[in-house]
Amino acid sequence: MDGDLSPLAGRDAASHLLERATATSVALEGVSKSYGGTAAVRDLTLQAGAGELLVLLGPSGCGKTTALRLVAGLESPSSGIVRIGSDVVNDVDPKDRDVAMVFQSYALYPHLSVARNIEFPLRSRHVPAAERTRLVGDVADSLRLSSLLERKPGQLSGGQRQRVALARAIVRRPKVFLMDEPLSNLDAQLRVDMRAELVELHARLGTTILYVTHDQVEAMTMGERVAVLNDGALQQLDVPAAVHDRPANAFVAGFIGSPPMNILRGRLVGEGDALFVAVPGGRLALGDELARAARRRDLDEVQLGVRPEALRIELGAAAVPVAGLLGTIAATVTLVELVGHEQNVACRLAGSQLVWVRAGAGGAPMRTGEPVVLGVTGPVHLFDPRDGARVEP
Amino acid sequence: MHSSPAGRRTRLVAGRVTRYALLVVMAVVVLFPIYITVVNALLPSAEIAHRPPVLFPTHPQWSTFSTAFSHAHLGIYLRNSAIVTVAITVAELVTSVLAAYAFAFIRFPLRNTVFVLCLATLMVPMEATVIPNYRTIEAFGWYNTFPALIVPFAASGVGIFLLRQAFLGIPRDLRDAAALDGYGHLRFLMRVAVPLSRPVLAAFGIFAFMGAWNQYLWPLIVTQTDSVRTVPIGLRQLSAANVNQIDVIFAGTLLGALPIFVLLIVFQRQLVRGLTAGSVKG
Ligand SMILES: Nc1ncnc2c1ncn2[C@@H]1O[C@H](COP(=O)(O)OP(=O)(O)OP(=O)(O)O)[C@@H](O)[C@H]1O
Ligand SMILES: [Mg+2]
Repeated sequence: MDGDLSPLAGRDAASHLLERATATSVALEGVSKSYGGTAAVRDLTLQAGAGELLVLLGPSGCGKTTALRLVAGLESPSSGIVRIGSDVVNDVDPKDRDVAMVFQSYALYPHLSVARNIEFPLRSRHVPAAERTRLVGDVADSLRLSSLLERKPGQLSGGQRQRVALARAIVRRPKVFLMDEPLSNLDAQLRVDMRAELVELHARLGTTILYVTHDQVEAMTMGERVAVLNDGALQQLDVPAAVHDRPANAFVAGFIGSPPMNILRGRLVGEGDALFVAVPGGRLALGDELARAARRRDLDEVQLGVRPEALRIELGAAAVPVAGLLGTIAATVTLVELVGHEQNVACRLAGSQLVWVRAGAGGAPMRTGEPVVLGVTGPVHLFDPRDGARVEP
Repeated sequence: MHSSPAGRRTRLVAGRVTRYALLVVMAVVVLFPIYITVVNALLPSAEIAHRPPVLFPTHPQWSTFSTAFSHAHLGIYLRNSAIVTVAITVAELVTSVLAAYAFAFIRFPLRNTVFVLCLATLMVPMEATVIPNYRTIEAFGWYNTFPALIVPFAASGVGIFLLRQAFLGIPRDLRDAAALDGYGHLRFLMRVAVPLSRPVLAAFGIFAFMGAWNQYLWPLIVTQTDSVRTVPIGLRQLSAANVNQIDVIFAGTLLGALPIFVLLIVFQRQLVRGLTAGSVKG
């Protein structure tokens, strides 16, 4: 809070700024926010632990920015509680919440030099000039901005602007960083570099970070945990591996992965003890545990989730089922995408559903229109078609 | 239609000649009255009425300019005009900036209604408000004082409108970033909104200055003595009282218009930039 800074004189105020690296947790508890009739955030509950880098991931318009603005205090929740540390901050002014935000647009002041931009938050907190210069110098050094301090934002590249926005957030050592798609305006190469730099920065500062992105690669590589949002509601909050391997519902499954998981409509067919999922063009056997779980749910129709990596293309419509496969599906190649040395192949099933297959290197090049048999190597996932929820084995 | 290269060039040249001819005509139309004023200021009174009119003063009479100061109190009029104009310009800028900021950045009940009311003042001609304003001024005991000349013009619908537009061009993220950085409305206004709107502020400032400097009807009504009379009124009194000093009046007119000329020349670039450049980039 700036209130406890101002009484301190000169050097004390600044060293206080530097010391305050103790991390704080952030929590939204049952928070909703609607604009007029439309709900931007629905009953959102999530917590970022002290010092954690929590990624909010979701498609455009799912309420990620709104969630950050609620934490920052730029919006007040229609209902629910916002907590920073143990304090409820619903009625605390944005400037007193001690959070810093990196905006999607960077929000640099176009008329101020880089140095002035960075020291802007320090000026309002009455940090003496000498300290301001020193702090700005330090931050600029650490973000390789020292040679750009006299430029205006309009004279910087996208990556440089992004670093200025970061520097402005870092310089006052807030309790919490809120970052709204900070890398979305950068080209692919720079994005990869900045990703690593942000992770390193987080390790160095130890500050809690809420990081918003719609880029799942960013989320999976940077996040200690990932919160997947859709349509204003939390879908899953877990470590990246779990979000990938055990998606909580069909939405998460269909959102994560590149190409994402195939979701096929199918029917459960029992044969004695064994349980199969029948899809147009083939069927596959379910493992014992998954079969039991499906039976317990008393399902008939199911959504079958298969990652493109769990499919293998066997050329020729008449190929025989091979041992080790859960099953086979007949399909027709409709599109071949070359990604580096890999092929992503889109195949159409008899029921006209589209399935993506990740075909590794060395495989024969596919031709469109060719009939193929897809071998399912597993694992597969089942989702309840009524609510999309995962059938947990 | 087929055009040979030569034909095209002829047409290009013809186009350019026409354009310049038009510009020359327009320049003459604008500059000729000013030139005649200068000539008449330098001619003795007797020659001004001469037929055919004298277009070049062979014996320029520079003393009319000093006579304007010594006999016609031009010094006092200029001083009064300066006081009134600067006060009005500053007041209009301050009130417009504050009101425009509220309309652009702060949510309050009836915001749009109040804004439309502000705009509606643009549609009321000055002539319609002269009588009520005069009565108000009189009731305040301000007749023949500077407040009477200044206060009725301290706020401007045009200014509010122009600045609101400029402020609306400032991304909301800037306001939010500043709020997180600890800046309240007033400090955001001074440190960010105003600096970013400088071209519009300059353009409106010049506009306000010229409007105030050239005011005629209102100052005529509410002033009685030279101590508060502005240049246009002073010259008008002079011409009414002293027909044979018409050269002095021409000289006074020139001197009275001088601040406007200077202003336009000095701020020419600002004005053009205000009209062409967007206020916020990247
Ligand atoms: N000020 C507002 N007024 C009305 N509706 C809004 C406002 N801000 C956001 N919304 C709506 O709320 C929803 C969530 O918006 P939000 O900006 O949080 O999405 P987002 O996840 O950040 O999207 P993106 O990835 O495109 O930035 C959207 O449907 C949006 O139209
Ligand atoms: Mg957003």
